[in-house]
Amino acid sequence: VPLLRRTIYYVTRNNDPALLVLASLAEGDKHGYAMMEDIEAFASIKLGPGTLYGAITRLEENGWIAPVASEDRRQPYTLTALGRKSLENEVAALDSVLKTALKRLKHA
Amino acid sequence: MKRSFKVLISLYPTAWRNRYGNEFRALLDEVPPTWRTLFDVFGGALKMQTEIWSPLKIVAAFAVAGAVVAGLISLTVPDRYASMAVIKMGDADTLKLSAALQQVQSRSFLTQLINEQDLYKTERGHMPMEDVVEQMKREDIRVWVVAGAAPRAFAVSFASTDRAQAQRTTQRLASQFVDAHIGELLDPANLPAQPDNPRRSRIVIVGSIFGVIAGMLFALFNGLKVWKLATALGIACAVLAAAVSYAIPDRFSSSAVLADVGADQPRVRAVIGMVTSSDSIHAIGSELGLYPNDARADRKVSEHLHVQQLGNGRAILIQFDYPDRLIAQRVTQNVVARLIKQDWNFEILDPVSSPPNPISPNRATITGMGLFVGLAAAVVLRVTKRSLPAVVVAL
Repeated sequence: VPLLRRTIYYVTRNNDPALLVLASLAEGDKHGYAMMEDIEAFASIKLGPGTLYGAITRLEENGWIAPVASEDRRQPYTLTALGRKSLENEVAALDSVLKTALKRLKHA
Repeated sequence: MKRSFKVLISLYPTAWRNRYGNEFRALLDEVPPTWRTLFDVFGGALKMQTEIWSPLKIVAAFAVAGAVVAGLISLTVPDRYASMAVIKMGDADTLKLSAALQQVQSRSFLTQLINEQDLYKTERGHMPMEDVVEQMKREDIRVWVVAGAAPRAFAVSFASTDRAQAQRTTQRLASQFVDAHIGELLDPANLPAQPDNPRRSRIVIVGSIFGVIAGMLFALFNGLKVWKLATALGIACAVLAAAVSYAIPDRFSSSAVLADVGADQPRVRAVIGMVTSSDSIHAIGSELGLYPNDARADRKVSEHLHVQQLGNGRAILIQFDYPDRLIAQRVTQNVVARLIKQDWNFEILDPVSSPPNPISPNRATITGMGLFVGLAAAVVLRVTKRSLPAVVVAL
């Protein structure tokens, strides 16, 4: 059973690309390639271009990010107020999980 | 590889390309071209397409893809030619015909025919003769009554990848009926000109059915956004089922066929009754030490021993399955000996077989069922809105 539990955790673990994009844009506006490099630097996750643009499409549809006017072919994006709020909620939820886990690890 | 990226971008939906095409191309110009990136872009295109497709379109696309793949696979299957002979039935009654049919389909005759005509060279290299004969009976030999023919007639055919071999073998099969005075040859075995290939169309049909099933699952998982849960539970249940299937012991089945052309049906039934009586079953069980230390040994033996009348009622099929291959064979031998002792006129049509492979458990089916249960459980869990952490905790 522990093996089964670990397998399920491995297959379903939550490395949501949308959350990574939001986290990257929280620092400032960025275009696709800059997001990929930033995410690799802070999360050690190499997002592929297809995955990245899948997340960008979904986030823009939700109104969480928006394109910024640019002269370049590369399109920068910015975090909207709604996106910032969603990120805050998501991070607060994750934070409580992390804090509990850390506390329990210390007690164990 | 950069050119492949361009092709892959064209796989994205037009509306998406109009909005994101330019900036996506600019990004692809910057990323290093690797296989991983290529697959990622392909996966992205597939995802974008399926998000805008209706479930019906997804199922149709999968069905077409399944048919195309199966069609390509079917091209590797060699052409098959079926030769046919028609025999006019004389005065022989149905009983006589069915006795002759049993003789033609017996393992001993077919083994002799395979050796004589040098059939199934490749198969014989990697399969036991018993399995080759079974395959021949199941797939290549056909005997059927010609509908509406006057006088009554029946046809026999044999299919092979070699036209001449198909004709020779059909001739031999037909002559077997003629020699048994079943009737006379109306139409001798022909040399087939056109390949007769139901197998190829069958492969394509099976391919499209698999496509439809895969498409329905895909549309369902995609619609419910239940991919990760379905993958996890599917794999977990399949692994569990496979493990359980290995815990079930193998069973080997040994069989034989006897026939007594002279006896009448009630006589054969009476002989079977004597051999399968509880005293006789008990004697067989204790003689061969079946199910030692088991109070229900006799019941288990009679559950796994099948002695039944075949077709015309004058032939008997004896079949027994047991976890030990040799013991299964010895029990069948023992039953055959008992039957012959009751009626010395029994002729052995099919000698006692030595089972090369276990008949159960069917591990592939059990694992497949496990996978299916896992996938269904994921859908049920998502529909009943139970979240994943609760499931993981429950495990």
